[in-house]
Amino acid sequence: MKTRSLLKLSLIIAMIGIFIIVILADNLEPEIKNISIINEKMIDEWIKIKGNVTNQHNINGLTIFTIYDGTAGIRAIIYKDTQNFEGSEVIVLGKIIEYKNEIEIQIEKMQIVG
Amino acid sequence: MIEYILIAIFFGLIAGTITGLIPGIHINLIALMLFASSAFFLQFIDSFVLAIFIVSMAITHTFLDFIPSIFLGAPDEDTALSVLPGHKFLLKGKGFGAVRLTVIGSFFGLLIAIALAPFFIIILPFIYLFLKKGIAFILIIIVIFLILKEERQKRFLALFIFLLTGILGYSCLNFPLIKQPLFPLFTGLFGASLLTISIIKNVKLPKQKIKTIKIKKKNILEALGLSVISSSIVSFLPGIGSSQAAVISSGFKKINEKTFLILLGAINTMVMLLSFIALYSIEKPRTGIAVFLGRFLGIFSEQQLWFFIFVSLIVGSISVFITLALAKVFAREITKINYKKFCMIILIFLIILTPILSGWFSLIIFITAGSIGVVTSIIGIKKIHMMGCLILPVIIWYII
Repeated sequence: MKTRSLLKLSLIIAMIGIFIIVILADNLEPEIKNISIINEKMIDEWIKIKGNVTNQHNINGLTIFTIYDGTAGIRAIIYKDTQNFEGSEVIVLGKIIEYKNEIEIQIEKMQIVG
Repeated sequence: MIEYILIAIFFGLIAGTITGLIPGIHINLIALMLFASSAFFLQFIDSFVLAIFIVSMAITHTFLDFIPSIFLGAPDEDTALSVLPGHKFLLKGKGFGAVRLTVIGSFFGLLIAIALAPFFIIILPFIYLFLKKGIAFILIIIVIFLILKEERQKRFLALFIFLLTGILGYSCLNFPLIKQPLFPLFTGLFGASLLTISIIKNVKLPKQKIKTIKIKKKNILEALGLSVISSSIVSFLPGIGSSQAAVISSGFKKINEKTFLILLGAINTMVMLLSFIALYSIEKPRTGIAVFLGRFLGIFSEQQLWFFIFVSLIVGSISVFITLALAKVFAREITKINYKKFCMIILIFLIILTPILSGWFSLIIFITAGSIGVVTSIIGIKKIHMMGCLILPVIIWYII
């Protein structure tokens, strides 16, 4: 294969690939799971949960609260969003992380549903 | 207790050698498996012994992981930038010499990190607070500087590749259905692209000489000096690792390929050791391994930290010999096989491994990243611009 053809082909694949990845990353989400299934083995994985917000407090632009879904509760953090979610029912998409030996969810997307 | 510690060091050396040599088997995976089965082990041994195993494995890994990068073109996220200079030396029959340069870097980097450890323990909390605010701007300035260092007619292309890989990296890191997104991203950008070009160009490897590559003492000192600065900057910040440290170093001073390989070796090992110090000093894990260390021990004492540092020194010294011995084996054996077929086998191996480790969608990332890598190689701009895949997401994370 000539270098020029390889360059054109690679460039086309790269552009189409990035387009597909951007679309998929924005639209594909995991199914909603119970909080009770979350454990240490899932650290760094994405998860989607639905539950009620309690114990909200804000520290230096960081909002921390607990989400309960009837099976268990988990501490959640959200950056740079200090609005009040206390008592709301929410669906959140986030990454499972560990902070000071406790499992938390670092929220990337949140939707108030009730 | 001492016999358990020696056994932990021994198995750590073996595990680190295996994870270093086999692409896709990461130390974090072994640490996770150990953590999952820790209830069993803790019946017989103390959690401190398990922590020793983790430290031993992690330090060994930082020496060994340059071998697949240089000989196979199959890097991980910490060694990605060594692929191109390493491959150039491989094509000149100096693959062993290239690995030796990274070993020099790793070992002296380890010694310097140990010598500076007391200083880091005291100064770290202050550096951390200062850098947290300024890291995005440091990275932006360095990216601009690196683009301006390209020839005038290639600057736009360098910016284009930086942004393209940046968008790719940002999307991958925010793709909820992909596990370990860095694996397809880095093996695609730096490994698959090099293997594809080697296959298409029918590259033939010359006989490998088991010889050292001559380097001036001045260049070694230059690499070590830069590694201290950049490792100190990145080791304590979230989301930033060895590769970003290398990018920062490149921004400080123009260095040749030999110096760059020493620099990468030094940064790789220093960042790992400094992450143990960071865990103690600011109580924040900055590498996957530090996360597991924290899980096994919680907050540990300064005495335990010094013991980890001592173990790192022992393990690092042994790893020098293991790495050089294995690099000799690779250098002798690699020319006995058809290199084109060999590249095809490695490429197929990476294609099979990608969905196993990261899920089916990761194949799209692998192919896209590989294509960008091929474009970058053909248009002839530096591969360091492809580090946009990590630099841009970090800039966005710190600014927005």
